[in-house]
Amino acid sequence: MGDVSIRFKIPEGVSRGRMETLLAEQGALLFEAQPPQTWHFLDTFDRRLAAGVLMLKWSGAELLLCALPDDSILHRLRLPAPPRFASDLPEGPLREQLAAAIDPRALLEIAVVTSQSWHYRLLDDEAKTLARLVHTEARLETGEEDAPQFSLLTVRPLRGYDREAARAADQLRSELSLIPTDDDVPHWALDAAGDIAGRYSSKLDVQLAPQMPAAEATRLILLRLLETMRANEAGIKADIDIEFLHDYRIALRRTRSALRQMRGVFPRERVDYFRGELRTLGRMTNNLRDLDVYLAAEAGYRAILPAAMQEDITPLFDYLRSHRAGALAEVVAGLESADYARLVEEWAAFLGEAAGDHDPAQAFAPIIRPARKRIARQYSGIVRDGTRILERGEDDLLHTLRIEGKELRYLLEFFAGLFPPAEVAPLIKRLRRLQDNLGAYTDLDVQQAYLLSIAEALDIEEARARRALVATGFLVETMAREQRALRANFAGAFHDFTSPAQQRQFTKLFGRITGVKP
Amino acid sequence: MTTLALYSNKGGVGKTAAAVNLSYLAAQGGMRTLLVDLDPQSAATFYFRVKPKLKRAARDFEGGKSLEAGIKATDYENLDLLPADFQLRNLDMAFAERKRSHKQLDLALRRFRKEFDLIVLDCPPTINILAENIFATADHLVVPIIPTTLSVRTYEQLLAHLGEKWLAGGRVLGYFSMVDARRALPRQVMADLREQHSGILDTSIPYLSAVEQMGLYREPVPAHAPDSPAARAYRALWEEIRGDVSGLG
Repeated sequence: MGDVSIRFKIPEGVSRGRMETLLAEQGALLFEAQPPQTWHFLDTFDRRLAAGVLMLKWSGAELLLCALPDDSILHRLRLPAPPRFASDLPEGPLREQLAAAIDPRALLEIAVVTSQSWHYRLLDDEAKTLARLVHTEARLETGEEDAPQFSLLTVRPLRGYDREAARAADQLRSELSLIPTDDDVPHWALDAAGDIAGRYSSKLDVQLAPQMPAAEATRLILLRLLETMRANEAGIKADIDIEFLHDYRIALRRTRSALRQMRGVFPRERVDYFRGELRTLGRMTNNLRDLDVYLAAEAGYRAILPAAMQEDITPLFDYLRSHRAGALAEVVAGLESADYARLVEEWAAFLGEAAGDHDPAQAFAPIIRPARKRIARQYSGIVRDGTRILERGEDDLLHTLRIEGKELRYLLEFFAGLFPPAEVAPLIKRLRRLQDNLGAYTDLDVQQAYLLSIAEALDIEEARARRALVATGFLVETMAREQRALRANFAGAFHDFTSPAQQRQFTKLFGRITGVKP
Repeated sequence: MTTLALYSNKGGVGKTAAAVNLSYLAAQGGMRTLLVDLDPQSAATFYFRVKPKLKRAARDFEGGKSLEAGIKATDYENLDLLPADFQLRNLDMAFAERKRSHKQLDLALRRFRKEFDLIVLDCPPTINILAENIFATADHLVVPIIPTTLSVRTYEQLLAHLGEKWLAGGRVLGYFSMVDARRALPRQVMADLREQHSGILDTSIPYLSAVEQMGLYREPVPAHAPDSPAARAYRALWEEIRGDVSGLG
C-alpha cells in the first residue's frame, strides 16, 4: 500500500513545548518519544542519485538506499563509515544498484540532518487507535546558529479509519494553523542544502530568443560554459573523482567550438587570442584525462583477455598508475597558476562586455541567422565527408567526421531553444547513433596507439614486462577486430542520418544544405 | 499465503483467545496477518476494540466484493482485522442459497492471497454449511480440546467427519486447552488421546487467569503481559505450529 499520510508543516516559531500542549488539547496521547537521530545524506556532485529517484543515507552505523518519492527502503547495510565510491561496498545488490547509478562518481555528503520524533495516537471512546500522529523536528547541521529547521506533523491513517483520520487532520489543521505540505524530512533537507550550496548541472540550459543579437546570445552560452568549468575546479584539485575533469573538459571543448563556430560575431584579434589560450588550457589536461580513462577501463581490459593472461596486463596499468600523481599535480599547478587566474579574469571580463562600435556587424544580427547557417554548414560537411568515406574508402576521414559530428551536436545544443524541440529531437537521436558508431571506432584507434606507446616504455628485460607485451598484443588484436565490425555498421548509421528525408528536414529547419550532390 | 482456522464444533474451548493471541504473535514476527472474525458474537472484534459494523456483514461475504473495505487496522503492526457482528448468524443461509455453496468463503478470501501472508479464521462452533466453507478454505484446522471425556468425544467426531484425507495430510492440529494440571483426570485423558492420535501438539494452554482477563484489558496476552505464563504458553504454541506448518516462516 502506498503512503497515504497527510503531512503538515508547522508554522515557524511554534516550539516543541507548544506542540505538546496543543496536541494534548486535541486528545492525542503521547505514545513514544524517539531519541534524536542524525542522518548523513549522500549523493554525487551532479546529484545522480536524485536524478535516478534514489536517496542514500548513512546513520553512523547503517547505510540505506531508498526509492523516492516515498523513501521506501530498497537495500540496507551495516557500515561503520560512509562509502566514497560504490566500489567501497561489499559485493551485493546495494553495491550493484549504486554503481549503476553513480559510477565513476564519488559520493559527497550533501546534507547532515538531526531529527527527533514524537509518536501520538488519537483514540476513540473505547481506546481504539483511529490514527497515528508523528511530530518531527529536524535541523540541518550546517554549523551555523541560524541553520534551517523544519517542524512537521504527519497524520497516518489506519486501514479502515480513513474518514476518522481525515476528520482529525482537518481539525488539527484549523486549530494549529498548519500548512499542508508534500515535503518530508529528507526532501526538505536536500532542498534546504541545495539552497545553501547551490545546484550543479553540466546541462547547457541557456534561454535564447531568436531575435537576440548574435554576440549577446553567444556570450550567454559562453558564460554558462565558464560557470560549469569553474564549478568543477575544486573537485579536480581535490581529486574527488574523475568526472570533475571530464565535465570541465567538455565545457572547455564546447567553449572552443562555440568560439570557432561563432567567431564572426566578435572582433577577430580577441577571438584569436582566446582560442589560442583555451587550446593550451585543453592540452594541459589531456594527459591526466587519458590516464583516468585507461585506469577506469582496467577491469574491462582484463575481461577481454583469456583467463591465463588476465594478470599479465598489470605492469601496464602499474605504469599508468605511477604516472597519474604527476599528471594530477601538473593540472592542479596549472589551475592554481597566475596565468590561469589571469585568463579566467580576462575571459570573464570579455564575456561581460556589451557589444559596441569595435564589433563586426554580425554581432548585431539576430542569433537565429548564424545559428541556422552554422548548423546547415556543419551538416553539409558531414554529408560531404561521409560520402567520401563510403565512396572512396578514405577511412582516415572517420576521425574528422567524428569531430564534425561533435561540433554539430554542440551547435544543436547551444541553439536548442531556438527550434521546435519535437523536430530537432529525432535529428539528434540519429546523430547520436552515428556518433556512437564513430566514437567507438575512433576510440579503439586511439586506444590501440596508446597501448602500443605504453608498451614501448616497458623494460623488455623483465619477464613480467615481456608477458605484458604479449597481453597488449592480444588486446590490440581484439580491438582491431571489434573495429572492423564497427566499420561495417558505419554505412547504415550514416545513411540513416543523411537520407533524402533527413536532408529535407535539415533544409526545412536550418536552410539550404550546400555542396551536396542532389 | 497460509490459512489457519481456529475451529471446534464445541463452544467455550478457547478458540477466540487462541485466534487473537496467535495472530498477534504471527504479526509480531513480521507476517502480514489478517484475522477474520466469523463468529456472530464478535469476541475477537471486541478484543481489538473495533466497533462491529451493524449492517451488511453477511452480504459482504457473498462474492466478497466489499470485504476489503471492511478491513480495519488493529493497533498492532502487520495485524488487520475483518470484524464480525451479529448479522453473521445468517452466513449459513446466505451461502446455502448460492451455487457451489461450500466454496463461497474460499472465493471471498482469495482476493487477500497477495496482500497477507497469513489468514486466521476465528470460527463459531458450527457444523453446517459455514463449517464446510471453513474446511474448504483452511489449509489447517487448529482445534482446541479441553481434556474432558465429552470434549475428546467431540474431537473424535470431528476427525471421523473430516475423514482420512485430512488426517493423512496432517492438516488437523489439535492441542489441549484450559488444562488444569493439578487434576489427575485430565492428565489421563490427555495421555490416552495422544496415544490414539498423532495430530495432537505437544504444547498445551493451561487454565490461566491472564487469558480470562483478556476481556478486561482488551489486548492480546503477549501485548498486555509479555512475561506472563499465559503469554509464554501461546508463544510456545505458535512456535510449534510454525514448525509443523509450511509457509509460516
